Amino acid sequence: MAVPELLPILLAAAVSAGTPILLAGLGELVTERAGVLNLGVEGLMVVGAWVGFGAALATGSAPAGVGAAMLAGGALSLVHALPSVLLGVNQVVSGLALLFLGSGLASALGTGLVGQPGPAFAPLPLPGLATIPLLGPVFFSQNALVYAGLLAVPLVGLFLHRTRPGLALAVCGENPRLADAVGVPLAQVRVAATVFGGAMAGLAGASLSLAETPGWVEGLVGGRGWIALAMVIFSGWSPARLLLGAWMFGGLVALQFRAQAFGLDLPVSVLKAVPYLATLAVLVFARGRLRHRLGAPAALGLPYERDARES
Amino acid sequence: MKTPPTLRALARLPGLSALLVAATTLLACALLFAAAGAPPLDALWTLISVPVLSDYDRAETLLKALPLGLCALSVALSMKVGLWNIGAEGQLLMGTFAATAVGLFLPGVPDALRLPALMAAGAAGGALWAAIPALLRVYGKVSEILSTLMLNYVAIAWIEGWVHGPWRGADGRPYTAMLDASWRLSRGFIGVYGGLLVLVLTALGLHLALRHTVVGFEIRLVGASPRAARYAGVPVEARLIATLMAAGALAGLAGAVELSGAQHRLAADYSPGYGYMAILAAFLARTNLLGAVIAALGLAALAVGGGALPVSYPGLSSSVVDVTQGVLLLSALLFMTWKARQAAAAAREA
Repeated sequence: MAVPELLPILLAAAVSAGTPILLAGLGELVTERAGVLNLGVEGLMVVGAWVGFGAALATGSAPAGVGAAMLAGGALSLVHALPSVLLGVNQVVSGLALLFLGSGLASALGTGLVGQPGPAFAPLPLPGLATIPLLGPVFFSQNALVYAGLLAVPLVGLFLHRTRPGLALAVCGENPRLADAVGVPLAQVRVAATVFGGAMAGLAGASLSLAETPGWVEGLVGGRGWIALAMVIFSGWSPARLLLGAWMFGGLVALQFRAQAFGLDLPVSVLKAVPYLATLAVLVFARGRLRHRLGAPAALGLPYERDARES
Repeated sequence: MKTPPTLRALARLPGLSALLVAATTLLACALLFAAAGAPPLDALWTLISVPVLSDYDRAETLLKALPLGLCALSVALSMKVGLWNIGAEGQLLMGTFAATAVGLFLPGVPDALRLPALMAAGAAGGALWAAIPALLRVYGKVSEILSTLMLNYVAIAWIEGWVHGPWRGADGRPYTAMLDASWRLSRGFIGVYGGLLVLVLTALGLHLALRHTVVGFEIRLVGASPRAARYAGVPVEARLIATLMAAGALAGLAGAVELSGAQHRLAADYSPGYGYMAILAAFLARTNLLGAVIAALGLAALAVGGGALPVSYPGLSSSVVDVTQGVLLLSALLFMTWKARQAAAAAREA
């Protein structure tokens, strides 16, 4: 196929492939803005994929699978949220524990589901909009979960920047002592933000097993949770930039399979490394004012203790 | 949260938390086995007894324990200077890469020098890979947690690139040719127990160096308080970089050991996850170097026991080991944090 015909297909694939990253990334973005670092996203996505597929198979309904996946993700994230927020345990270690737990559980209990065909989300072209040249096939002929992801971006952005609860959440991550002093229920906000992140990660996992790569196999998530984490950093904790990051990743995945058609002779492994190298670059070059705009919430990953002395 | 005095007194009992952690983990395992449809007590016994009962499985355990132990030392060593080395996995891979290059392509190495050359290449590969996050941390203020994590995945992509490309095996399989016998570590009694000895001696050596040399003291000072170290005239940047590179060397060496003693070739899915298990081991040992070796032995035994489960119980996959590690880590974390808070509260009231 010539390039002009291939382009909409490539872009549509990019948007679709980026959806799991976008969903998980938005969840982690909210969690981190509240000050909690959750390294267990990959494990939560695996659990979401497994529970989502299993539930959809059992009930015959893909949407039921999605609901179950979000519940599972939210519930499991409490394993990280409660000790981190209430006891002040080290969040790096706790997140890693969640990672082991989630991947292990899904792997150990999901052996019966491998290779089984199950319900999936079919593409849902939007009447009228789908016929717009270029934009139509790329944005308006996707499945319901892709639409959900695209909608979630402005919703999360509006929540964080224009609503009171959202601003309170952001203060919890930037200056927890101030938040506590003005009466924001810090612990509840942080736990809620983490559970939200877990539910979104579960949704992201389900979007893999019920839409993007239907079915359940070991290694389904394949590191996408880590990429979502990287993209949150790469985006400077901004939902709009996260969308760009998700599309970049999706584009790389789509390119991996179609590089030859574009006359690109790049080895697949180079494309695989790009999201991580890009994140590293952002980490290195975000300096001064740019660091302030692109930088992490000041209290990210640090437990808050009301009685602790400032050191 | 105020804890009643009796519980607080119990918390001070040595070994009690270790016992509680072990009990919680075993309980979680039993529940998991039951959920997967296997008889819990039988499966639990298999898990615990397999690694020690037969010669073959004991050797397997020790074969795993050596690279895992080296990685655990890597993580524990970085913690001494206050750095989190989440990148042991990537450093292991890059060490393996360097070792493979030497083993497959370096011409004219005399037989006697082959193993040392392989090990040296592994250590060098790991050290160089660790230099990147070290420099980024010291001069770019980039968190080493994030940079080492990102570099792990870059390392995986790097290996895949070579193994699918220039180093591709016959009929395009994604693994290199086998290293021939002169490059391999012996798997007999001497090789396996010798490896354990090397591990223990390394841990001991590092421990003594940290305790009884000036550099060791400086490293520990930087770990405790970089500001105090700088005030005392310690070259903080140099110590940070050197320590992380040494940690990388240990992980890279682990890769070379795994290559030479177990897998004998570099493949696309090479890593058994030692880099991440090592974090668990170092954490369980509370960064004590000798403790990290013991924890690594325990985790290796767990891995071997877990590998034996699917054979006897078809409903179980070896990923129960992952869950066990997760529960172990979590319960250890909870108990340690609880004890630390009790100690802090007691100190405040004193």
